[in-house]
Amino acid sequence: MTRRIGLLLASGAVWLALLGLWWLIAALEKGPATLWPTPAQVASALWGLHAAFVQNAGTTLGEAALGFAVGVVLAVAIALAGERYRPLAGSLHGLAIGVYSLPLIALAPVLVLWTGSGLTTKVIIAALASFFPVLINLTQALRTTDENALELMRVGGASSWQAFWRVELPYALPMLFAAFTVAAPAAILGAMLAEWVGANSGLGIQLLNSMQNDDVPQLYACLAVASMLSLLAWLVFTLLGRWLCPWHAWLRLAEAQN
Amino acid sequence: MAGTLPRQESAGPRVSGRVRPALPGLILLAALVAAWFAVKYGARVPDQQMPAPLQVLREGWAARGQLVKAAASTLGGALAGFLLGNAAAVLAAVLIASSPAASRVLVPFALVVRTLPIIAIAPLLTLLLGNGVITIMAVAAIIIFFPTMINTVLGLRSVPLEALELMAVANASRLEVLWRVRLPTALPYAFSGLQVGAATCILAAMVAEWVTTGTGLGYLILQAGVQFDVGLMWAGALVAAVLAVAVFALTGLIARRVIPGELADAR
Repeated sequence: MTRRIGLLLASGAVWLALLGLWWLIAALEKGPATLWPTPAQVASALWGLHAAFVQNAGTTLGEAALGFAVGVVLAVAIALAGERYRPLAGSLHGLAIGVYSLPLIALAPVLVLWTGSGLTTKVIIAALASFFPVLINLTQALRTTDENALELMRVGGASSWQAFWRVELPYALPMLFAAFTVAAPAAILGAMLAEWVGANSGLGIQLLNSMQNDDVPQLYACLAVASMLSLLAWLVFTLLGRWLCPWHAWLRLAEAQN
Repeated sequence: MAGTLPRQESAGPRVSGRVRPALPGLILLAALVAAWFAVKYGARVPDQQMPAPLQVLREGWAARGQLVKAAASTLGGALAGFLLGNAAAVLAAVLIASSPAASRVLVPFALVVRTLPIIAIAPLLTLLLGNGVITIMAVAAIIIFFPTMINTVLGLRSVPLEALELMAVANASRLEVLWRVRLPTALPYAFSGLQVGAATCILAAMVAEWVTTGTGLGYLILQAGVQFDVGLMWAGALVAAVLAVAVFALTGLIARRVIPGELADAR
């Protein structure tokens, strides 16, 4: 128990040191003082505009969540299709990489031409930004399922659907949730990027506006809120993953260490 | 990019045997091109929104020198960033998996860096690192760092308890456990991260080029878009996609060397 408290103190100290370093740089900056606001300035920008931040963060989070959901469905569909019809897997993945590697900044204006600057563009961009890690991790997990467990299912006369539901999916869960922790921040970033092309509210548009108005404290506050959202998403999926996979090695490992 | 793909096809008498596995891919590609033609001429989409395939080919061919030069520049920065970012990610993952204190500090830090829009970091990095390939490499490394780190940490923690007990009974040091048990277990997981990074590093390099250096495919695509040179813009995007597929195939080659057994045929 004391070890745990010591640990918490140590990591807290590192974060405080980083904050102190930031403050020091901001205080030493003698120039026009626009690039490095002090943490206090950022905090006051955050507090002064908290209503706007809550509203904009809500908008972005909604877009990102929708896009994330679409991206996950897409990724699961492609991964399952590729594993069911193995010869197709290579070309499906090639197609997925091709789409994923299109520069979203160049794609966003084209999408706006096609679908208008409403919610659709943001959801598509967020989905494109987030589907790929899920596809790769799920495919890898499906390919590394314990052969003995699958063999047992076959011997027991299970259908391929039952084998998937009872063996392959549970085996894939840890990797799937690891992918979610990568994909969720990507979706938030994608939604913000899409807002740059045109939006009424959202963190991305607030970031762009504060950049154009040279309001640096507000710019930093936007970045802080975006980071906060991503941390939250990461935390949710990490905890959910641990809760859903209590049998996985990492938990037994943690118990053994304590 | 020209080096990796065509070589496989020029395998002489065994060509038919090699083409067969690629057949579904070729059919898919043909279907895509056909769909492109159909949408373009069926729905009479204006050139501004979607140029014709032949127009893209023609303009791409006309600007081939420019495209090849841009692609080489992008690929160089992206590959360097790919190596650097993955090496750093594996190192960080080892630290995180072996020390809870490191995990408390590094994971949130990595997340914060991951969520900063690269467009906001890139100007800062340009100030620090200058206006060249180093900045492109740094941006690519930063962006691909996160997926590899997350996956490698998961892999390092996925070691069966029995294996660890065996090592403990054999009186193995922590370093030996890491080298003989944890890292081998983590390889396939880390490989997933590499695959994500393979596609992402090209993208990241292009963003960096767009913001800072004014070279490479990223800048070319943007510039073509601004000048309403739609054919060249699409040609640039196609080259970028081909590059990403090539780097992805490269990770497959690496995996086949490094990871034993069944994973080898995972491309």
